[in-house]
Amino acid sequence: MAPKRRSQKLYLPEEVWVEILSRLPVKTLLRFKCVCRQWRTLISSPTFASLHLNRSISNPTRRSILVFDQYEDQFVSFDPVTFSPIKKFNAGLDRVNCFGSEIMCVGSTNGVLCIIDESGRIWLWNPSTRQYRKLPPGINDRSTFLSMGFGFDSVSNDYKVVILGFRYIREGEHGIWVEVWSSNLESWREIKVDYSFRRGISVCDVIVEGSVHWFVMDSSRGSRGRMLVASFDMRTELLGVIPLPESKHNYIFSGFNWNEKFALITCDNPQKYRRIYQVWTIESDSVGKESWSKKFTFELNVGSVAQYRSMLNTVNGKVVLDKGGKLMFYDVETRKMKTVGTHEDEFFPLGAYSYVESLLSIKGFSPLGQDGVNEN
Amino acid sequence: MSSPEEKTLILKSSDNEEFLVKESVAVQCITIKNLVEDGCDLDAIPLLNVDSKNLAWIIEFMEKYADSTSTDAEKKDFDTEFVKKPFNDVLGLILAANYLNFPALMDVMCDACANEMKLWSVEQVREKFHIQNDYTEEEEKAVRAENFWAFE
Repeated sequence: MAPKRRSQKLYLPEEVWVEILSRLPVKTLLRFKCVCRQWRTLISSPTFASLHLNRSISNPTRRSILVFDQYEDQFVSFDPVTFSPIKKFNAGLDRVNCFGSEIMCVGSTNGVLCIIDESGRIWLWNPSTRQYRKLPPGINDRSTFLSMGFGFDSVSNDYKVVILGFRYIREGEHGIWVEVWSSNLESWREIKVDYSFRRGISVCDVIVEGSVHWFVMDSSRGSRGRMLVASFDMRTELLGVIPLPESKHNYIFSGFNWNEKFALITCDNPQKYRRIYQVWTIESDSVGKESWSKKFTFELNVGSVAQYRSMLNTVNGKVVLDKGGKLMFYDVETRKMKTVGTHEDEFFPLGAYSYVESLLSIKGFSPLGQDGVNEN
Repeated sequence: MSSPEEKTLILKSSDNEEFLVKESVAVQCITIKNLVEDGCDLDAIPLLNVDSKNLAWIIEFMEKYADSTSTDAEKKDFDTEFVKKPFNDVLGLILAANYLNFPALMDVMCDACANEMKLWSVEQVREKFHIQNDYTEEEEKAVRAENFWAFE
């Protein structure tokens, strides 16, 4: 048995340990918890996790692009600079089938992923530390159609999951309910809203710092199904709605995270191979009135239209496109396009996310079972 | 308006060697910057925790970084060569950079240190840093088991 010593002859002051250790990858840090008790305490501390995260976030080479491959039910991470696949990533998903079937990823924030399955169960998961927690049932009936969002409130240091639930009122009219789960309070709260709109996809479209956004169809009386952007602010927990720019209702559109701001992409000539896209953001004027402002345009030669399934997302300034089993990254600034993976790699992507490895732990986190126990 | 003549400082290492450094270069070390701003009027600034070996290296680094003509690429090449030192010297420079509060040097040296440590085993870490294992056998087993995949 190794002798227990009260004090250690470590000749580096703690702030120096922190400087060095905060530059190590998560996997290494988890191993190094075994070095001694002081290191375990340091590495396990929330302060250290925050520091480590901030260092990772400010280093663009540490933020990989994560794509969820629905066929293999796994994540594939891509190097943000070279776009080569780094690793396949079920990080315990293959060991424990506790996530249910038909899983989808709602979003990725600070190294924590929000996963849902077809029965509407929700999990928060840190794949780097292999810790997770299942969210408790909420207030409203979950059997109606739901669309989820996931984000972070930096003011109260709180991870929140927001659900839009859709309720049929009468022909052509739908009401919605909104619930938000707070990781700090570990409880659901209902937010009263007075909107009426519809949505067909279970996950939100865009997550930016501090807010989450959905494209929805207005289903209030006389609205004739115009498209709107619904936005949920993580800090104020308010849901706001804004119609799309007038002239663009009939054109292909998508949304993306442009420098942590919600940006809309419209296309003037969707029928052409050489498409011209416009990028818009929402700006407030001096009296707080919001309107769309066109920021820039970019051109994308999508080749044979039939092959392109979707513009998945934009991550770190790169547009991720799904070209029938092949992934492509388009860099808006350099205007360079790159097919990723080898010609044998085939992906069935369901979404693309910005990902950074972190040590973050959320209240109620526990390790994924090691012995394959299915935890319901 | 002409600027005052460039002031030179004398930095004295713990083993009493003196080094001449331009003030504008030396103030990259916040510790020295504070001393100068507080109106330190000693002939030489004694650096009690930095020996001449380390001080010579630090001055070499400071001068490279203060040089406005060197490009980012040149600095990177310089860094790559600069960190090629035995591990104990790397640690020595980290301690010195910490004492002198020299952020740029701290960054480069800590990155180099972390890079080397990345693939070490737990035993190697203990050996290189002279860390005593204060876990009991059972405790260590438990901590290892918690993150078993990290060892694969």
